[in-house]
Amino acid sequence: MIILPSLIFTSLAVFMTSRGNRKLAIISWVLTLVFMLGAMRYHMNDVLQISL
Amino acid sequence: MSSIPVTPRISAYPSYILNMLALAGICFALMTAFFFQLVLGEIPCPLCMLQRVGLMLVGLGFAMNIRFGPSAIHYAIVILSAITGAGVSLRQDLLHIAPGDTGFGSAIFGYHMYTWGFIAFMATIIFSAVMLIVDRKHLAGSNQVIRTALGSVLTGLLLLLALGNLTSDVLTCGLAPCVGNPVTYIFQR
Repeated sequence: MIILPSLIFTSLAVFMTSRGNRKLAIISWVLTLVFMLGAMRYHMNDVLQISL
Repeated sequence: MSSIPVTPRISAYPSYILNMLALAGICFALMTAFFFQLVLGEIPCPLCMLQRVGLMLVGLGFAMNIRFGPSAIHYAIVILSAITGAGVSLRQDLLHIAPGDTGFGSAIFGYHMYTWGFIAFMATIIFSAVMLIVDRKHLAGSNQVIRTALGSVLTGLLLLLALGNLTSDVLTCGLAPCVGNPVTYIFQR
């Protein structure tokens, strides 16, 4: 569920590229990146076993 | 907003071929991940899925160079996507630096997939920097469009892989947040 929007917008961006719609492809890429960063924030919260 | 195809200058071909090779490499990496998932039964973890998204976004930048001609924006898409994907790979690498930790999933030529992912993202950033030099005279992007069947096939393959990963994510997590170490699909629970 958390990663799903990133995958939906990735598919949309590639589809728009194949259809020749550059503007919508770039908008979809931006949305993918935003949702991906949100998913990273949710999933990358484990404590590391090493000290940085 | 489709570009008008015109006869491109011969100097545009090396860029086109290199972008196609890069996209083929990304598709190969994604297909390898699917091989491990479908043939060897290794269900991807959330961080693995995020790295796949990063790879697909990198592939998107190369696909846009193929479809619309080289552009600084497309290379920026590749670089920013690779940095994001590398962040996830590095995080997963750091998670497994612990005594007795054998890592997640199988190793390929001695490295786990997330380590290969980090190497691939770094290589992509270096490749894009070199391509910005190679393409320095064509970065306007509007008059160097080349159309080949192979370019369309590779873009279509990337779309299929994106839809495959979308399906895989739904089958792994359903509509709930993904668990850290999935061992079954939702229809097996």
